[in-house]
Amino acid sequence: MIGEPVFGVIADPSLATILDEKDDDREGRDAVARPLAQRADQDHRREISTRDRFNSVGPKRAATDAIGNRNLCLGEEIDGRNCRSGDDQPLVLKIPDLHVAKPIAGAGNHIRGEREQKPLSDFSGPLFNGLGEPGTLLKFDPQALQQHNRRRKFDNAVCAKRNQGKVARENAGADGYRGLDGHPCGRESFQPEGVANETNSCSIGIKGHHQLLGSGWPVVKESGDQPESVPESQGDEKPGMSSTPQLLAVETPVSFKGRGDRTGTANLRGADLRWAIAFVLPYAAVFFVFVVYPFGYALWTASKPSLYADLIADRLYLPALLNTLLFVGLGVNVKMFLALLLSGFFMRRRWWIKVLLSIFIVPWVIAAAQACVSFHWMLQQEGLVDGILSTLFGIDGPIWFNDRWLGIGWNIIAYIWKWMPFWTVIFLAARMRIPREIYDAAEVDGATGIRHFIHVTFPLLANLYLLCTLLSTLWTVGDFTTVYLVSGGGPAGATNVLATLGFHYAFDESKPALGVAAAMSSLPGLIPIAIVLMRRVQTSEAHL
Amino acid sequence: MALGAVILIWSLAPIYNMFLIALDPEEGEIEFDGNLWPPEPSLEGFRAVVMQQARYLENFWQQFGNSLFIGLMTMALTVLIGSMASFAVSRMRLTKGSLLTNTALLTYAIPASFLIVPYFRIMHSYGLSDNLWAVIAAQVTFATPFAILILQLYASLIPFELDDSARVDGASAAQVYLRIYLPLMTPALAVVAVYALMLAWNDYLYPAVLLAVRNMTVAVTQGQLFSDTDAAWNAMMAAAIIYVLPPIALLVALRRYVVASLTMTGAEA
Amino acid sequence: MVSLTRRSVLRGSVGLAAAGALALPHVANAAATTVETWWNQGYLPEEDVSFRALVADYQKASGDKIDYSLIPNAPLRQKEISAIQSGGVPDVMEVADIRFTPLNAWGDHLIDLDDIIEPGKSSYSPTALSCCHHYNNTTKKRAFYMAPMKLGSWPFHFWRSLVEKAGYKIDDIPDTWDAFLDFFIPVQDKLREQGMRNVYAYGYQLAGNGGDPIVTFNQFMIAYGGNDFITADGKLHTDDPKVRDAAVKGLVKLTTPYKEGYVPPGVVSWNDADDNNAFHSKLMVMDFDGSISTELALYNNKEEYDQTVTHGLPLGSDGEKVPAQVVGFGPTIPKGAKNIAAAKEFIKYMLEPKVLNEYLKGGLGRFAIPMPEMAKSDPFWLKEDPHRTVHTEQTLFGPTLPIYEAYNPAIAEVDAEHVFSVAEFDVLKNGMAPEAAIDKAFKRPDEIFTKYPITQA
Repeated sequence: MIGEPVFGVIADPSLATILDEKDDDREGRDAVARPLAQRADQDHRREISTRDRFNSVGPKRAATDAIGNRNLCLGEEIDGRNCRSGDDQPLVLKIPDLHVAKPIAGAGNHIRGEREQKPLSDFSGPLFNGLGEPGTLLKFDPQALQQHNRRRKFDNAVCAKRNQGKVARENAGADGYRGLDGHPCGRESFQPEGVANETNSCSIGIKGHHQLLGSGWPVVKESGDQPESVPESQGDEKPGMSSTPQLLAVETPVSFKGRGDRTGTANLRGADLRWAIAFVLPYAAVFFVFVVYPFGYALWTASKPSLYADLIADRLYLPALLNTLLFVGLGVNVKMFLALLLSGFFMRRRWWIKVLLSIFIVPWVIAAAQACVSFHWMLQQEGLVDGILSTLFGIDGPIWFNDRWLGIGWNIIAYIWKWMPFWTVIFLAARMRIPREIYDAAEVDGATGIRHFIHVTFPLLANLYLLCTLLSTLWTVGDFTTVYLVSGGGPAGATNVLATLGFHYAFDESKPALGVAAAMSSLPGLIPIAIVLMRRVQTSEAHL
Repeated sequence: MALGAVILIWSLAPIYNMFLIALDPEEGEIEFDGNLWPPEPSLEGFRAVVMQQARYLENFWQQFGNSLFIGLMTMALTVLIGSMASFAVSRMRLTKGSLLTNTALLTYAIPASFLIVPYFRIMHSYGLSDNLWAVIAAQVTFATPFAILILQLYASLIPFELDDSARVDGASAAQVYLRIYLPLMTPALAVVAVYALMLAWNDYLYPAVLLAVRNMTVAVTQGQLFSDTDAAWNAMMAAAIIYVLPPIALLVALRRYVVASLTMTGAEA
Repeated sequence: MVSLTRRSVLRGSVGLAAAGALALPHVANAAATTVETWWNQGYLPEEDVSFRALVADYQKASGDKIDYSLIPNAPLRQKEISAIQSGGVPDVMEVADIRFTPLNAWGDHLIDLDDIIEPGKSSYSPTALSCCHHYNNTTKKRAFYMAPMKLGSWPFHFWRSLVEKAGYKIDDIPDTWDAFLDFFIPVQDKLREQGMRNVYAYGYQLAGNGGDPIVTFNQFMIAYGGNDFITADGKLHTDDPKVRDAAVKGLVKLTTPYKEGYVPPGVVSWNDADDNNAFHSKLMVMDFDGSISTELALYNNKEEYDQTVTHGLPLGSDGEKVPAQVVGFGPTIPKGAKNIAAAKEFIKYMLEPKVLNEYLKGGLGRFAIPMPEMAKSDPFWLKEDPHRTVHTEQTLFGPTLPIYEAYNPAIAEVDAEHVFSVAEFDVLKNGMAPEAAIDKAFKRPDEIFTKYPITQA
């Protein structure tokens, strides 16, 4: 069970399966410990996970909120304080702060929302039949909720992507808690064409845990007199809770640290903190031993300014710089673009396409050295390429590596040949994650073919595409094997790139310091890319 | 359909060329006569490699074993270290966890091939010169950030409630890691494993500089001889083809997991 | 191949055993130290076998352990540079390329070996000694920094079969430089007439990588009288009109056949191995390459081997023999080595004439022995094999000069920039006039040599 795709299991919205408890514990859980109002304060500081993909960074509605967390009983209220589900299990729903935007009509497909704290009671939609003041018990309509969540999810996804840049800036608030569903919804929300705007899309800050119970609501179960502290620090035994894959109820609200949360105390304590450190330690060790020292040494070696004067004066350097720009610029972008297109091609479900995919991956699997040597030999006078040319077209190929531009061209081609399969698979995986419903919805709206790609697929993959491009750029600048073995640096060093040039200086000209300097001269270009990459990873929702 | 044919030819052409050369019966010469088919196919090259009689490839099986060792250790260590760090950051929501991810990505700010001389130096000062572990360490260093990235992205798809409920059940962090995180992340781990293996398997520069001949890997031996002297090209290409087999075997073995990760649909009921 | 190997091994080990026995008195009886050694992996398997036998014998005789690694040339080069840079040096390193010793001697990274070489100085050929006598900028004097074990020079190689196929006889080949070279033009024409589409007369190396193009150009320059390009005192003479004239002539002689289609167009991107390959596949009739590696690669194939001809340098236009460039390879001891005394003992052993002779013979004589007397007394060198004879004679007994790196390491830096290949390129691709190309090429040495002032002859 544990290996099954998580999501498939959580299909059953039936509340009966939510909690799988043993009978003997019922007493312990019977009474809802605290008055709901009492909890509001404490819970106000808590946030349900902000790492959920629909909950990224954003400001928590701060202490100025008049409304704190709410506890909504999804079952039947008892005594005005306790809450029971139909199965005699207490069930309390925690609703964190809501962030409700006011729809402004008349903006075509866009609804401008404004951020405004609204009491839950102002919300009227199919989800709840009248939300009331804190502590109000509500009826819960699972069906409606499910439907709502589907739409929400799509909206959230698209809207989030659109807004994430803006939101990240806006929401860099004190608590790092962004709306409830992570919905950025600040200035703009996106309404897909044709979908009736019956709800305030992007307007409800509802916790977006759609997976849970099919409902998306985090379910909080009260348990006896247990103080609402972090379970980890107590290590408390909660016998009777079912095995986790089925269980989605969290017994006590766990306070999760959102990024930048400063209102809570440290959430990892004691044993957990030790574990966390233990887990991180190996990588930290690797990093310090094998990254910091070499980087430091390299930077120190390359810090003599006279080296750079020598570099500029050297006849090989500036052409190599240009070659690197070409190699990286063309290589990466053409490769990524083709990978994106081909990932669409490989999505089709035919058997021969699957076979083709396996064959397509082979270039990646072949060791780079041999593949590049093979390319080099293919392009010799009377090699395979010339053979093909003369058989098919009856012409004699030129001496490929005598010409700088042809040499660079073939380097790029060899590079694309080798690495495109890898990125194609990455994009393919991402495409496969796009929920079916989005495609369905889009089809309903009439988007097919190119429009489908432009309006649906590409926006959803855009962030991943950018991420991959940045990463690939960093990797390609360092690509040594391809140029070294295919064109060998070309006629008289004319097709060198910085990596091979650095190697040449270090080992052929016995000037290692100059080699390191040549390589480091690309840092002014690489560091910004690395920074952008890091930002993107942090604020991104790269996968659906 | 046409696209399929193009893809087929495109992917296979250089590999076909490798076969062409490998099947050449003569040693030390390449008959560049514009052949599209091997004129006299012979398995001499393959035989020479397997029997370790080919020039410069006398230690073929030992070097093959070295490559295998480096590849598998890199794979194991990357998966282990990467998943642990990623777990701590994304599931345990370590404060400043993003700092870890960022610094990990900083590893890529200076491309690996620029750091070869510093690496040589530090491996020497750590006493690891001419040691397979030096190469393994270098490969793990460059594979792990990407692994952490992938694992983090993938982990964001798994709801935290699973962890929390396990915690509530009394699981310690380690148990959550072992019982929940790892099993659910298997497809992503498979992808990371394949990536790490390919990185180590493919690499030329680091084994070349950090190792001596008796510890060398096959990829390096061949790449070096390219610009050196007359070598038995047919044997070398035959060796290249043999060298490709383990990664393919791994891909086939892990195909299930990779496919699983590809076909897992989104969070839809 | 196996039988030849066995024979040579047998010969080698018997010889080494004998030599070892003779050498015993010279070997210090130190406590067993381990000498870490990096050695160039041989071009031929026999060379490695020979080296292993040598090591085994030394270990038995001296009680020291030799921890050796046989490393192919390119990685050896890289490792040596990295080692010197980072400090992780072995005790003994065999030189992998001609630039290594002069540059590192200049930078005071090597231990001087005067105490090993001085005693036996008279047995070496003078050029061999020059090859190892480098200038140290810290001590401001020259000393021996490499032990001369292997000597090589650059003869011409061509296919008898192709020449004869074209209807000419080997004996017809003229003996003066220009005539000799021009001889091959009609050979190509005739062969082309016979339908050999892909055959060229010359395989001149004009590429901007590797070491051969540099030597090729230098040799042509020397042939036309430009040997004073750098004199033994380390001074550059680009201002000498004789040198400039020779350089221009050499440039013309190399590039004109290319323009006229007598050289494979791909030569401008060849590396050091490509010309060997091309020669073997009979892409060209004649090749100019170092030592007799080109032929020895065909050693297994007796027929082919016999069809190749090694030809010494023809006479210059003044009727005198053209001095041949000679290069020496051998072990060095880097500074920072841990076992210098033991390393020196090992090298001393290897330089014993008998030991050295056996070692090189085991390697099929690819390199010549640097000791003329030994070469004369052992028929192996001058009697048994025509290829070897020519090569040995040219290296030891003809007029020779060491490669320019021995005189001044500055030229190593110049060579790394391949200034003359660039000149060739300029003439061939950019249409520059040869004089202008040479003037441009000479500028770089002028600049670089100022960085390497040698104050002592």
